[in-house]
Amino acid sequence: MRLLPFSVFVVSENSMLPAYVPGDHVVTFNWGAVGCGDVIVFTGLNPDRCYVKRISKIAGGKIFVAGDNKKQTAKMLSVSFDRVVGKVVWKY
Amino acid sequence: MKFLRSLDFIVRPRIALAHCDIPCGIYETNTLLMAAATISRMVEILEELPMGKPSLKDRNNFIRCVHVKEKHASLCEEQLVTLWADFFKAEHFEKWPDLHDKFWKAVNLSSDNKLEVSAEKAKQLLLACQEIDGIFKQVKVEPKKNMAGAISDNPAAPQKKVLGK
Repeated sequence: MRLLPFSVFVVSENSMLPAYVPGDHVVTFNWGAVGCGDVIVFTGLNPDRCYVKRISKIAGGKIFVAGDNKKQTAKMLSVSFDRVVGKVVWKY
Repeated sequence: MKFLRSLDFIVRPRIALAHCDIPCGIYETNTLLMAAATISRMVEILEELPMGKPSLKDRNNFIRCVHVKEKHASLCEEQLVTLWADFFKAEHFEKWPDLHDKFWKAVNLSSDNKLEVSAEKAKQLLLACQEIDGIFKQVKVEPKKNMAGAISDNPAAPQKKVLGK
């Protein structure tokens, strides 16, 4: 469980276009559940790196995420629940 | 909104990568093997440096070797994750049921080699990368003629002119 209820991130790169452009600031809520269609921030194998993607499906105890920009994102990645930082709830 | 963003100096936002992961279809293991071999060599050099009363030159070399070891361990990890997530597909994991485990162990060995100066861990990492390379070579498609040096797993990858030739 994350210590803080909210976190702030800056989006980098293009695979979440058009919903999120590089430079967009997003706020995540870290204490709630996530579901299909939610945009989440999660850590990679290196916990210092965070990624932002949309949940495509949840199956077998794993979350499958993909980018919105289908011209540049061709596949889904699987993420375990313990790597989820939070759900994006606000953009500014 | 600009006002809120101007508060970045108070609440520093972290970067969330919306990674493009364009499936260009070009993958190779040379970088991975080079990185693993470099780690081994750095550990050899570090173990040869004098520990008692090192000269300024020895201390300089020590720092440089640790820096190179760290950098190549990170590179190794990055290359492993790219191959794991992007190159190998579901059918490959079915054909080689221990492939996930091989990658997981190799990635952990990359981290271990950052934390430690150990000839044994460096050797284990090199062997782990060589095993993965062996499987990679069984899977890869032969490169197209005008993309010399590139290894593509996508036979439909567009043919590109090599600049200057």
